[in-house]
Amino acid sequence: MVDVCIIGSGAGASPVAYELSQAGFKVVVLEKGAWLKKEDFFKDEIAACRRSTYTPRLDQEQHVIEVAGEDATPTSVSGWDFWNGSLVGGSSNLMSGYFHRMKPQDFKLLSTYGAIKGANIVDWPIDYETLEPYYEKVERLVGVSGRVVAHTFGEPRSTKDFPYEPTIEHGITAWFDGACEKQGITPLPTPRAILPRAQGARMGCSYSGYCGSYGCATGAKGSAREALLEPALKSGNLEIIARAHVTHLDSDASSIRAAHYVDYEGNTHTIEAKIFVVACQAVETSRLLLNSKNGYFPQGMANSSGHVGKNMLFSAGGSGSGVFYYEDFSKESVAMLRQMGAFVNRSLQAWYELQDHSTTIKGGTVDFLWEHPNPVSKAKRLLNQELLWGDALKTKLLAHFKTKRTLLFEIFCDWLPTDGTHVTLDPSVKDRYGFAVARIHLDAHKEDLRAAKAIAPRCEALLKSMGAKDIATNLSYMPPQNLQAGGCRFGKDPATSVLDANCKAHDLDNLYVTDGSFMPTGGSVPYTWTIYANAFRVADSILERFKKG
Amino acid sequence: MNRRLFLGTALLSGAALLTARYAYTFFSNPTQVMLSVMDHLYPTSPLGFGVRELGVAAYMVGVVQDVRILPSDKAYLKKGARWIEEEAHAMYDKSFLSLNTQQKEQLLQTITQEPWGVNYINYLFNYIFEAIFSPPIYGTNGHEMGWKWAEHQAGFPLPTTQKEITYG
Repeated sequence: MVDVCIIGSGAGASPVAYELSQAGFKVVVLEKGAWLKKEDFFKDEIAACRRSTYTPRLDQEQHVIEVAGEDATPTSVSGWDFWNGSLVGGSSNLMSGYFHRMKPQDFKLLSTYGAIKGANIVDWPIDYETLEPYYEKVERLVGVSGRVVAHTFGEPRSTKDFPYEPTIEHGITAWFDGACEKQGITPLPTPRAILPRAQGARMGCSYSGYCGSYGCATGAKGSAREALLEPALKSGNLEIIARAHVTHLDSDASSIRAAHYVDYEGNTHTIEAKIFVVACQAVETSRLLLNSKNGYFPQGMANSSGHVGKNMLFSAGGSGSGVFYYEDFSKESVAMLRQMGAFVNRSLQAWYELQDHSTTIKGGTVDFLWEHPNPVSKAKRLLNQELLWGDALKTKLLAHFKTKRTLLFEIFCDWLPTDGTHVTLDPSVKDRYGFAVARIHLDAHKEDLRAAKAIAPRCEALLKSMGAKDIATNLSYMPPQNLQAGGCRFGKDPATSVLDANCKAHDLDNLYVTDGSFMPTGGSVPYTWTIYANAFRVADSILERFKKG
Repeated sequence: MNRRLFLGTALLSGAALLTARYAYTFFSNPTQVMLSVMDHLYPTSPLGFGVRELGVAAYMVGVVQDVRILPSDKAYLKKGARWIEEEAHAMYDKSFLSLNTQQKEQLLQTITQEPWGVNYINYLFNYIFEAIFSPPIYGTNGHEMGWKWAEHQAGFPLPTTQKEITYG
């Protein structure tokens, strides 16, 4: 029997593996995907973005999506792939690494902004001050680069600045800062989980221009694998078993007894441990617990409350864009605009709170970035506007690639937890191992876009003042599948939450959930930094428990 | 009635099924039809190379062998080609492969008035664009002709061996 068995290997799993193995405890990580290392990653759009290379093929493992008022559709039919990265290190391998802390008011959304009809908003059982030391720990261990700038909604910090200076910034940044200054907005250097210089076995960023959706070939990106799992292996206490698909958990009335998994050849195995940690990413964590029914837990493991799978969160908002046509600018400016590799690295939190009809409402965060350079996807976007072929297509393709560059903005707002957005087991669709797949029910709250609708025109105005044209915004109630949380919210009351304040299941004495599932609300930021930080916090509580025996 | 819908309905009756099967025996190889359609969609011209120079035929062999692609997607490649071949017979009473350039153009203009035609042509462009912009190790975009033509700056490192694109 090992001390700790962790199911999943991403941002929620790796801090526990790192801390417990370094402290001398025997840890096993079970990861359903392959174990790829930095030397296995290339800037290969076909592999990274156009094939199921890092994710299951949808006819073998999929989801069923049920948007309110529409028929439920398997993703193998719709093509809406809800997987984000099934490989050692999880989807953190493929993230862009835009890291923002949640703010103190995000931990007490209900008491700060009040209830919203139809939304299951609650305060967190912990506050910002509790998590702050762990945000700082992530800055050091995972590696967050940036520069602190004072602003209205800046969160309290225990250190003066980031441990790593910002990565190299693109020339457009000066235009952006100038436009913000004219409008009285404070531009913020975006914190990134990317090392600007070598640290230990990791090299600094190579500025290839291809970051999001790609595994990092230098180790600069703070993936769970690169930053935490590979260093933890040196302890000699960590074993990573790749291509191990955990199908279900076994328990008695009070404890998890075993995790059952299927290996690459289809052989079944069992792992016994003193502590089990589930961190499969929110949707799959709920699914695993729901698939682990037994006589003690007929509704699914840790689900006596009936809350497993409930109140799923995504990120509300959307994106916008503006086009810089080279013909509008000087030769020097065009040379700057065409520069590849360096990051825009600018975000805005000037509207983290908004006044709307004399009411203070929660706003959001905006990140600015260049359109992804993936050429196949870029060419396809042209055809989305108009189906062309032959020389008509070639003429437009050349202009599409050679005469302009597009700057994007992405708005991150709170996705309100509702009864309608949740995960259940699909009654008929099974995965290749014969287990029910997750059915994801989507019914976004109509208030979800309230803040984004107020923020988007201000971002458009900024782009316009920078000289961009063809400015457009696309806000949507549909969720970005890569920003998922909730489903096992933590709280003090076992009747209304799945986990306690330390992310241990109320129902079981040795089951923890450390991915984004614990979050009852998500803040107006991407989740990854908070997931890392909380998993370090939970690791401390497990360590404390082991010390007490 | 939409031709695809008509076929789907007709297949419910045995007689129609026999008719459809009989008709298929006169059809050209769907892979050849698909490649011919791709050639028309992205031909060699004064504005630049076409799919022939890219080596799209060999590329599509790799696509069909790629285990990461859904079998249903691969089947769709052939299914759409059969639909186009049907259309060629309906419009000109001969195979798409035997049509002249003007007839092919007319046929593609006709089918893209219907959703199935738009969907299928869009789907083929996935692979045409991949052939233009893939890393050359995939057997296409030789000498980075696609990247150079579009003045596209590729990322680095690029895969340079077959092993590096199989990903374990």
